[in-house]
Amino acid sequence: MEDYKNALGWRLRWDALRGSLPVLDLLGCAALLVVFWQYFSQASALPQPLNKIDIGAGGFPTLLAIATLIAIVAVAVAAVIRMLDPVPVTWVSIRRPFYVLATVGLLFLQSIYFEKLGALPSVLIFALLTMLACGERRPLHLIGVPLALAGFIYVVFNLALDVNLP
Amino acid sequence: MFESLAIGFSAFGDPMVWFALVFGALVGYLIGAIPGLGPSLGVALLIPFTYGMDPVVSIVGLVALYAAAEYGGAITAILINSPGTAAAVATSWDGYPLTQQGRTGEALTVSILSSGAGIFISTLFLIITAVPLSEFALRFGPGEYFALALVGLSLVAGLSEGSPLKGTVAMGIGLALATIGLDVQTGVPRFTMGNPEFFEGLPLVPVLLGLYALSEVLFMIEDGPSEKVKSAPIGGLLALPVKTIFGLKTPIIRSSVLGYVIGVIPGAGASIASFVSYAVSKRLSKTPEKFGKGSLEGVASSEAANNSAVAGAMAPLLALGIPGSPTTAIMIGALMVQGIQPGPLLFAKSPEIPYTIFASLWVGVPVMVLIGLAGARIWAKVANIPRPAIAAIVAGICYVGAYASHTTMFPVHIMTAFGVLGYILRKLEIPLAPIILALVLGEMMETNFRRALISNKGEWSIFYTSPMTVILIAIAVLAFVLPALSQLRTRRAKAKTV
Repeated sequence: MEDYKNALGWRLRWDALRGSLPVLDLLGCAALLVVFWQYFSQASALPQPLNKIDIGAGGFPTLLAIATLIAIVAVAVAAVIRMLDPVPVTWVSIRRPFYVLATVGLLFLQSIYFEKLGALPSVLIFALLTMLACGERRPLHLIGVPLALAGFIYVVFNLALDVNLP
Repeated sequence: MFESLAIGFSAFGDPMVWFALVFGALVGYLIGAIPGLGPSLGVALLIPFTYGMDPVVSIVGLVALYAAAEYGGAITAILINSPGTAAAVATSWDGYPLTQQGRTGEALTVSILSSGAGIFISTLFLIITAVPLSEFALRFGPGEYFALALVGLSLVAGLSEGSPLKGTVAMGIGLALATIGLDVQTGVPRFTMGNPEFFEGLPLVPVLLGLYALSEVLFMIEDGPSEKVKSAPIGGLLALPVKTIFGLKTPIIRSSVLGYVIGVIPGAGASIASFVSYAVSKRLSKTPEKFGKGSLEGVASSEAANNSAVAGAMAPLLALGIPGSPTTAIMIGALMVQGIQPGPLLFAKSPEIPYTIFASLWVGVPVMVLIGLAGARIWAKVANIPRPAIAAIVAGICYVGAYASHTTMFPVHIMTAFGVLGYILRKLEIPLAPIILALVLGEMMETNFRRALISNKGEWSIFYTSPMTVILIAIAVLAFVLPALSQLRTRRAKAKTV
């Protein structure tokens, strides 16, 4: 079991990025507070209702923003309490962080180039790269799976469902 | 009712419906048997394949997948002690010890027959309860409807894994996402950042694909290539004496009823159903000492319960339009793609949809049992499909499926963004189920909230003068407060022991 005093903060090893959940909760709450404050500001700025008995387009989102902001603050307070009390904190780890980051990059690249490259070529290329990122090194698998996947997508979407893929 | 049931069964005159049933069951077994992939991901991935299909055909396929995926998780739980789904964890407690004793065939036979019995019995309950429930819900006004949606959301948020507070934040995120687009009543654009593509709101299918499927790809990348697990040889399938099977009838019937009731409660789901039924069976068993060491009663209880929870989760979905589990929330997305709005009016406007679902659950039982037993050896090998191949296949289908939903790039960008967001939220232990549920129910909730106020001339008293609304809002509040209090108590007890 980890010592809670040492458990606050980050640890980066070559194979895993680890952080304690309360610290991550606080970071997450900070990000959500910014997002929901923006949401609240925009909701308040929406046009007022023409009819007095309606709450208008902004009424429900405003109430929602207030309730969610309260819940976010409560999560942050709970995180601080967990840091201070003697119960060992939970750790969150991202294993193989460089590969995860590379795959996130790949996913965004695929969404950018999906139309430019065409659906089937992009599936072929990115399936191969995803498999590499996931640790596959056998050449037959690296070639066979993307080809089979592209073939399956062509048969099902293009031929059977008549979807116009780029 | 019998006339409508006949309509449901008549759908099976179409060979395409049979094809959808068998295909859905096959894919369900495949997904259920792969540890880490569950019915939610399976249903989300199958939606893109249903775009051009007849609604009845697509719904039969999705229901078959849902039911088979719940069972598929038991196969790897019994053979390699690696439950394919969370609902099969209790099955592994007795299923794997039976495998170690060389009784794999017995365990598989009992698990699949109990699953079939669970679905059969719970579907009967579904038919008996869903129709009166939908008729009762027809009397609801906008205030009651708003409160009902709040109950569904708060139960899911309160009962979801981890902290109820985080469940509440997840619900807020989902409801906020549901408000993006043109306001239904005034036509005012809200939170669209000036981009007309957001005017129709967030496209549901790409959001589902991103949150449930693409985020899973990132978890697979984390796990890296999987090691091959050697499965035990399967012998003695169907070699179980009929007397032994009949001897299990009491725990099977009891667990089916319990599983159905728990499945009806939004947020409770198949895993809670299997744990509770297992515990009840152990307490009432004549041989409780055998539980955990290879009890057929334990396997039967867990499997009957988790499969009957499938029908249970369908009841609030079909009768009230409130999904009872993340998978049924995704199924609402599939129904919406087909232009079908679940809820009390569904039974009056399109009775062929709910009654075909009832019929498909029943017709699916022998099909599922047959596929399960005949393919036991194949499903056992499914767990050994290399993880990199699964990751590539899931990602590929996500991208093509998102594009095919609108044949534009907008849903592809949305899906990618939600894939990464889903991964971050899951790492922060923020549950995804309340987000999906809130996204699905958000518009209905807001519309009824505003209608209730308008119908009461802007007076908020409508939310505390109608007895039904008061009861529902009280349930919603308790659904948050009780789990939070219980968690606080557990934490204090832990702190005392440290």
